[in-house]
Amino acid sequence: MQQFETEVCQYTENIWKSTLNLDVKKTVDEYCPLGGEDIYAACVHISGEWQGVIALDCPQELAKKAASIMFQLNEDEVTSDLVQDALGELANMTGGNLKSLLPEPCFLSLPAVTVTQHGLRIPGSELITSVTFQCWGYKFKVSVLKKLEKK
Amino acid sequence: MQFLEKEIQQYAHLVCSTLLDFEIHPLPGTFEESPTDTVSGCVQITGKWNGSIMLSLPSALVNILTEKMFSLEPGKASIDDKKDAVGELINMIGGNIKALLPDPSILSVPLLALEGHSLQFPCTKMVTHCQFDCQGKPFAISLFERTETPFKKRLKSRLKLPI
Repeated sequence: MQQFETEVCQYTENIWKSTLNLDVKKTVDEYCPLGGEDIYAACVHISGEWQGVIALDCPQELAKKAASIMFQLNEDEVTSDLVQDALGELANMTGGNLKSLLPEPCFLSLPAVTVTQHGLRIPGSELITSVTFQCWGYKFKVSVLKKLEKK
Repeated sequence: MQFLEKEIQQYAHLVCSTLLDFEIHPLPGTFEESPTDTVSGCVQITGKWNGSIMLSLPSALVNILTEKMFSLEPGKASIDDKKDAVGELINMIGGNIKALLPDPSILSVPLLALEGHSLQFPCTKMVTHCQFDCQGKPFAISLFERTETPFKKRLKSRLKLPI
């Protein structure tokens, strides 16, 4: 099992249920967006005694649904900035929970969000955990990347 | 003048000239992003000051900078090379800017979005935007500072609930 995998699953399920009343379930099928497909990618940095990133990759349709629930709007009323806010907050909550497992002192950054086909890139880091979830017929992914120690 | 505008211009010039031996010149106006061509990289600062420093460049300039940084032939820069080059640039520029900000603050690892839409930072406002010319191509450095309104307050405002 990957490091923090159990906690990523637990926190993600709890956050999506308590914030959006959506049931999410870990799936063994990895979330791999189709070539040319735009997805939302959100992340928070953790800096300090532990350095890295907690990232959330989500298809646009699911991101819009999350925003519509969070802000109590119809999906066609949901603007791009609301989707970014929603994804940013989900990444923030996930990161905040995982931070409590990391060596102290550590600090959580503000979220960063983008629409991308290639996903966010974190130079000088290694992927230590990646968990794909199923929700509402869509898949999304939560990843933990740790800064590589410089030689 | 915008917050730290002069210092950002000085550090951008210093980093490009010492690391790449490239001259850069300030340009007026706002950098025009392209959803298919702009590469953006950022570092986040957390602590006494909270915000992000973002570097935005067209992909053609990323290629030029990467080839120069790693002494590669034209057209030979890989995705990983570009990632490393942009990451290093924003890390150096961000590290210099962090030294001007209230202490203690910590610099994050760099984050990049390649050839997609630009990075966005909910809960912040842009306080500085500087555009430059490098090798005939524009690029920009922007500073975003955390706003005072936390997410929950903004959520309640949007839902028209008592704050």
